[in-house]
Amino acid sequence: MKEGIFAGVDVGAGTAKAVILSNDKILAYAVTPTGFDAAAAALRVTRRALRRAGLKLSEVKYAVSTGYGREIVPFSNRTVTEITCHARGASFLFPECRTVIDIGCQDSKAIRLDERGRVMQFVMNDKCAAGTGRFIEVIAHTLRLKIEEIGPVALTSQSPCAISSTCTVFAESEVVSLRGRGRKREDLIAGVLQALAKRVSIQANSVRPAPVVVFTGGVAKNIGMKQALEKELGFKLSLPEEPQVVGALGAALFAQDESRKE
Amino acid sequence: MREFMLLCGMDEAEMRLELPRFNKAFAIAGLNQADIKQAEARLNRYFDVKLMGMRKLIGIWVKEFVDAVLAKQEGKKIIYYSYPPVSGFAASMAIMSPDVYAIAPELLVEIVLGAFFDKMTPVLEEAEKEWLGPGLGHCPLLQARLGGLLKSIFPAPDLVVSMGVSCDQAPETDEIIAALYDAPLAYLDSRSDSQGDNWPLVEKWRIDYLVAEIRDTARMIEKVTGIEFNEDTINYGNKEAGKMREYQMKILALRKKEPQPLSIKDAQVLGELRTTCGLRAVKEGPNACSILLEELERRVAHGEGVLPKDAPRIAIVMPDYGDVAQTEVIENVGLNAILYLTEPTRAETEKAWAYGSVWEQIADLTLTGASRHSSQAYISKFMGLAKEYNVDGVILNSLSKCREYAIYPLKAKEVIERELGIPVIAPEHDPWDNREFTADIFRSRIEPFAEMLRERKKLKS
Repeated sequence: MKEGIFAGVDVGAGTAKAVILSNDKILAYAVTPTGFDAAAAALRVTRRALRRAGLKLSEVKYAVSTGYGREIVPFSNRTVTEITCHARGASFLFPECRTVIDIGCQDSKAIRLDERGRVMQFVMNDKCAAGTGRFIEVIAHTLRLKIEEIGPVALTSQSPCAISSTCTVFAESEVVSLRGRGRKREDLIAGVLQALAKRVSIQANSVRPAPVVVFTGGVAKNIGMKQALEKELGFKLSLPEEPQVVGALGAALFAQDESRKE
Repeated sequence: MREFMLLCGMDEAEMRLELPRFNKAFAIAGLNQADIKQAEARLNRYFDVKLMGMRKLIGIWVKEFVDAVLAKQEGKKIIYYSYPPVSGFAASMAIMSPDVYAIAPELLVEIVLGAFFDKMTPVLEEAEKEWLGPGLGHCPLLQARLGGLLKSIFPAPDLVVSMGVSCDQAPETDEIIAALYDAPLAYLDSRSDSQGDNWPLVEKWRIDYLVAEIRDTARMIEKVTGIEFNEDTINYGNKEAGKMREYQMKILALRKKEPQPLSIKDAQVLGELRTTCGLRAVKEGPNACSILLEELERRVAHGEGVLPKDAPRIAIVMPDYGDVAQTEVIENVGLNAILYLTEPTRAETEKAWAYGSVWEQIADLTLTGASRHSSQAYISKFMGLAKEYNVDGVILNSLSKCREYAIYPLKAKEVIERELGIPVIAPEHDPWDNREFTADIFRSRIEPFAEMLRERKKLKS
């Protein structure tokens, strides 16, 4: 049975993501920087994903938006928060998933799910950026590292530095000071990942994580971060093929649900 | 000003009487025409001014503010007590004589300058200039208390009555105020109950200690004002304050009905007015409340409400005071905050008042409050209320700068979730200062919580 084409758009602080879905199958996805104009980014990323699937926006039957910019997506039929969407997306990819740890650009979350992928409990970082992807970005910039280099470089460290995890700005000053004292780049970035992992693991433990634990968000693409987090938590994390689009996938699944209700 | 005074529920005669005082007090407080226009817009936007009872409650707050600003010029002796006060005692100070004016000025900053005028931040910044510096974890409520004086909005006190039962910051700030304005300082303090699990019972020695301090304070009041302050004064104050308390309890009971007849934003205006215990609240509050009660009863009878009937019912601790935009988020995401977890429980209200003297009774009442008892009392109290009213979820705001409200939220969250099986969110929050926590930040936490509660409620039904 052909149900139609469904779009999920996750407009985050750093990147906008779109997933195109039909009959429970991911047809295509795309990721683009959000930039200043979140509405334009949503349109751009959705059109890009649709193009990859050989489709047009007019063919989308129902669209759900999520993320910080969810309210201003011009073609969205409904909004759902990113917590609910991440839970739904992770549960679709890993039916045994009971916990999601998501680290995005602006926030980090730990979510407990029931067996049907519904949110039972969640925690988010509070007002500070220190538990987020932005923390890594700021430090990477200071160390002249590209985002994709962070994980592999960190894995080469023999002696990670102790870095404060309470404030991004203070941590950056700390890194500059340690670099001035001759500490190696790999030890500094490994220390930063360790600090972030400590902070996120406290958050994750507060929802009493149960397996399977799925790691999502842009930061999940960082192999060094995954390893640091696994070490802190004491268990393995499951990684989706494209962890950055799990929220958008959840949104697309909600869009498909709406069609099925009709 | 006329439109503003109408929003304050005043009739023509009262407007004529109060206009010169309003003009004078607003000039002292630095509130100009643009500020008044802004306040009118905010009152219309955020509060249920269709209800005359609400207009009158708003009016009581504004008149209390005007009274406080002009108290010295109007020849009164001024007593500042801490918030939250010993209620019967504070009311007694407030109504003891027309020559005395007593109030907790910090609440006037939060509600009148904050919620109504959106002019609170300059007051907090004033306190930060020399004393309670920014970024040092000082309580914004105390910054409001000190800042209002330093900005010369409120006149210098003749006596400061400081309450430090479970907070060291309040007496320390009051020591600064007393030193700056050369005013005598009375302390009302205690310590947590050594038997944390005996709540709502209070150890006798604590009651005796607080009674001794209240008696000492009464003697200081007599010395400063030259007016007798005895058991009769307290009895009278207690009885008068009780009138508004009775109405408040009836209105809180109506707030448990579905659909919800009164927004939490409006309930805050009422609740804090009663807690603050100023003269206007004691004298004019019962009439305003009786009008509001009738209006709400009509709403309930007609099935009218401010939220859909099936909105998830939540309990909350410390919603916002100074920034009503944050309180609004709760209802905007579809949550029905029916219950403050600081409301008296059945265990408290049914507690036998074994003590013979009114001094002991008000001390016992004060120390029975969970914040003055123990962390275990908080948790027992919250558990009891959440269970009694069968709420769908709980928002336990974690106040990082508050000595009383920073300790227990995570443990309370764990216990409530485990024992009652209902979701609890404990976001870091500051109900007294919107510079660090805005409505948008609050919304990003509360909206997924609301989604989760709706989903669970759907499942249950």
